[in-house]
Amino acid sequence: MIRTVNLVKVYQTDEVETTALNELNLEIKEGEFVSVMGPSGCGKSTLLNVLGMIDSPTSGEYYFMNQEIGHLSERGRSNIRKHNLGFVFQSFNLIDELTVFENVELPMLYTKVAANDRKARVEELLEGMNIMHRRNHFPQQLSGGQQQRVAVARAIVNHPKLILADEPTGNLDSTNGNEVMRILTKLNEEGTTIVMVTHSQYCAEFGNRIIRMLDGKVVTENLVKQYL
Amino acid sequence: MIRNYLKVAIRNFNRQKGFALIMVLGLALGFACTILLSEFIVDAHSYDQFHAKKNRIFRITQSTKNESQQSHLPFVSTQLGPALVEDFPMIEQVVQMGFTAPVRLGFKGNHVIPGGSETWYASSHFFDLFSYSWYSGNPSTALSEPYSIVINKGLAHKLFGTLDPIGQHLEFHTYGRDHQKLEVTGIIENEQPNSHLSFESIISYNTLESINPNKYLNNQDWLARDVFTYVLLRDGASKSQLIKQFPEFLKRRSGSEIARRSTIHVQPVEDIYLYSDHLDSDQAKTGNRQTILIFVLIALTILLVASINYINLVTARSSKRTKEMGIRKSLGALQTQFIVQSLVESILISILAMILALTVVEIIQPVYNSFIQMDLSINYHQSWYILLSFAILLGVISGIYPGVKMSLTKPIDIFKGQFSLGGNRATVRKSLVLVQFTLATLIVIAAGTVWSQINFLHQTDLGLDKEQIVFTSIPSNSSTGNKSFIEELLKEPRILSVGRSAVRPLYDMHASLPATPTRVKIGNQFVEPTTPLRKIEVGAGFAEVFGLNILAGRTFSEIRDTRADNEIGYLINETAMESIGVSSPRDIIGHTVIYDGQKGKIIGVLEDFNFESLHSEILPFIMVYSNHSPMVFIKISDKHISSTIRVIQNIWERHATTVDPFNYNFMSEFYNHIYAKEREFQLLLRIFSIITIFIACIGALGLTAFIIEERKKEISIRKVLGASVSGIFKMLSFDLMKIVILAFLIGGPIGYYVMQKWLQNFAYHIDVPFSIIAAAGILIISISFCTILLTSTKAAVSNPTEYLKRE
Repeated sequence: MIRTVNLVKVYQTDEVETTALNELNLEIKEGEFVSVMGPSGCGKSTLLNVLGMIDSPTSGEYYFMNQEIGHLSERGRSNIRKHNLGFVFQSFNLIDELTVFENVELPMLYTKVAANDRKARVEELLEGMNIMHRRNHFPQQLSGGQQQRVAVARAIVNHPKLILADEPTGNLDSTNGNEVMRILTKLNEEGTTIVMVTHSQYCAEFGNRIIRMLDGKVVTENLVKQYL
Repeated sequence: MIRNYLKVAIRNFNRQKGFALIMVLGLALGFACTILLSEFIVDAHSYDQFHAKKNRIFRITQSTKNESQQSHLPFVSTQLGPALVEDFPMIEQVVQMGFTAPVRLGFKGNHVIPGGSETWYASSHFFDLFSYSWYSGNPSTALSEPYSIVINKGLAHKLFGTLDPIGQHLEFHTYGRDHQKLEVTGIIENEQPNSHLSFESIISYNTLESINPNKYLNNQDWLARDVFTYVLLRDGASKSQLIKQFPEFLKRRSGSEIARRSTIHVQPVEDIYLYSDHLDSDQAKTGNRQTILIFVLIALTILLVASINYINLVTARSSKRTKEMGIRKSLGALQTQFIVQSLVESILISILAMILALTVVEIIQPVYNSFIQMDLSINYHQSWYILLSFAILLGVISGIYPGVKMSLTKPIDIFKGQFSLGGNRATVRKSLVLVQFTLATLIVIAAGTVWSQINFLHQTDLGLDKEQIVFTSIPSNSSTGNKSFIEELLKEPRILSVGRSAVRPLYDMHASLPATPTRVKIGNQFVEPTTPLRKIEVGAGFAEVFGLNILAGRTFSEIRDTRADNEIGYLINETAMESIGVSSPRDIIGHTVIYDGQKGKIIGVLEDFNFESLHSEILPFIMVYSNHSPMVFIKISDKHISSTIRVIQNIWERHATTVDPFNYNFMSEFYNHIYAKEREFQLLLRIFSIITIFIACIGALGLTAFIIEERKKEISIRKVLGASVSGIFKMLSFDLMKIVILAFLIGGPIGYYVMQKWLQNFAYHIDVPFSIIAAAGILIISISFCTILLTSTKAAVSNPTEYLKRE
């Protein structure tokens, strides 16, 4: 599903040049649950952003479902993103002005799903996440765990093939963290590919492969369990 | 999706009520000012738009030149109209209009003088050409017969009460005539759309021909300036074709000499109100195009300042919206969708502001109307879509920049919080604030200069006394003779002096006075003045009434200047003396003058005085003695004014044989009237300049709020490290104060230059006072300083740990 060849990302500020990804080569197959670990500044988040097509590489190639993404226009990337990708963030990133229902519904507005279908799908997911009773609440009125469940619901509403999760449990207590990991594992079991950046060894082990990064490169890869 | 945008926008406003309120208020204020100014502009452009045949109606004007002067007037010979319709098949109809002093109309002892400064007479096709709304009678035949009159409903009610006026006969008292009867043939509505002709009654033109055939029927003088003449062209006929044939026509009809000196022009009826400045005089109602232009400029300035404000506030707030935009980007929002979202928000704000503005306008309209003495209102039926499109347009203009800027930002920058509209240095926003304050500086300088100039005009010595002078006409057909009327006036102890004149100082235009070649004998040869001398006919006492200073010689005297054997005496002013080339008044006394072919002597030199308002400069003139001048000026004591007026009225009525009403005016009121419009204009300018500063300050407020938001972390760290409140304040205000000072440095010289140019319109004017520019600077800088002080103090005194904890 994902293949990168000599992927380089360099950030340039006035006088300092920082190499966030340094000729990184990586392959992720469909159905995998990959955990990315490494110290702060090793390029984990940059990798996730490039894979999520919200940032473009400085050089190298990035193939998503056998299509080279690096040279696509913003509109082209945006199209692939909304149909195939779902994001889960550490800080949930829900829109404060929209209710739970509206937040989950939002991606379907971009993919032009009919109103009735939208309603049915959002309700199905909120039921599944056990948060239906909070559908008309605003994000600030929810606990962190509830917010992250809403964020996960939003990430999967369009049936993405790939979920990119950036420390999804970072802001949660262990109970809520476990709940989110359970949902992600379930999604993976249902066939969704997941790439998750985490600092927690515990969480990382929910995946089938752990990639460790240092200075913009993959240094080790451990297979946790064979994915189906 | 639009619904989603609207929802987010409304909830956003709700969350940041103060911010939203400032945005809406600023824009609403801009809209309200623009609407009020537009009403004025629309009103000025609405004149004569209601005539169904307006595209085919033209007024004939005529310019004439002789050796010394050129005049262009809308009055033409009575011969012209009938000749035009005979000679030009492309002319469908001609309407001639004459006017006299107001006449008194009576019905069974009930007398009324219709409103307006004159009584109009129009030929039979008048109501075919002009689409006045009609109440009763037949418009096509109402003015066909002599002694017919059409009146409006109000006048009909005053004269006839509930009686049906059609077919009734009105007594008609005109200047020096026996009573005549006028038959009421039509009634028009009271409320008529704006027109250059306004009247409560109109009499058939052939009535004038019957009363005064020598002037209106048999006058063969092609250069006479007696009537308005309008032509209605046939469908498809072109104005230019007509104009092309005029020289040949004039030559054929009036002879080559007149054709050489005179040119006929046509003026579209719609242009009469606003485009008649080229005419030396007009009896029609005309407006001031320059004022309209200035109002358009002010309206545009206010709008510009208000929309810059909006852009500034939106962009200042954009950092708070970064998260939402980032999320939308990650969910696949396209670039165009960001633009659409930004537009939806700005249009929503703009429409809200428009609704608020209309409410404000409706509330203050009555006060505004009484202030500008006009009856203005918004015609929603005709203009709702203009108002709506205008709100949408402004929404688009204000929303497009933030939208485009958002759409062009890379999603990763949004996520990293590196997104801020206008970049880190906020160059665009700062430039916009610079434009705002430059405009505010310009408006303040303009308002200050206009104020100083008008004060200057008021305070400048005209060289002529205008206080406690009453003027009226000499009673007509005075059987006792004019002389005894004046003698009787002079017997009154409270009447200080009495003088007669054919023209009214400060009212009648200098340019309309006749100028004739003059020759003055200096030594052995005759000298011609460099500028032709304008002739003013006055009687004895004129110089005394107006307190004119005599530099040498004497003024006119009843005894000396009426003696048959006496040589004609002429009085000239200083400017005339200088144009003859003599520098000392004493040296010119007694010199022979040939004026208008008549030989006489210069008997006195008057110190220069302003014959007109200070808009015009003093022209050289020559005064000729006349004891037939129709106007009388009476200088009265400043005590018991109203009883003195009654005394004058009694004497006047004793000498009048007709029942002409006694009308009088005070010179000082007259003079104030000349500047009344300017004073209103001055006040409006002042109000709108204050509003502009206010809106600009809202912009400053927005920018300061933004700067504070951006530098919160820095402020907190500095405070932790020991920075004082004043130090923080200095740091925050420095950025914006730099812009305001720069705006003043740009606006000051531009304002000086523009206003200096404007002042050239006045013959007597000040230079733009540096004190005004300095005051504008102090005003703008101090107001913006206070605004910044208000916003940044809160940040400066805030507890730094609050922010750092959040970080």
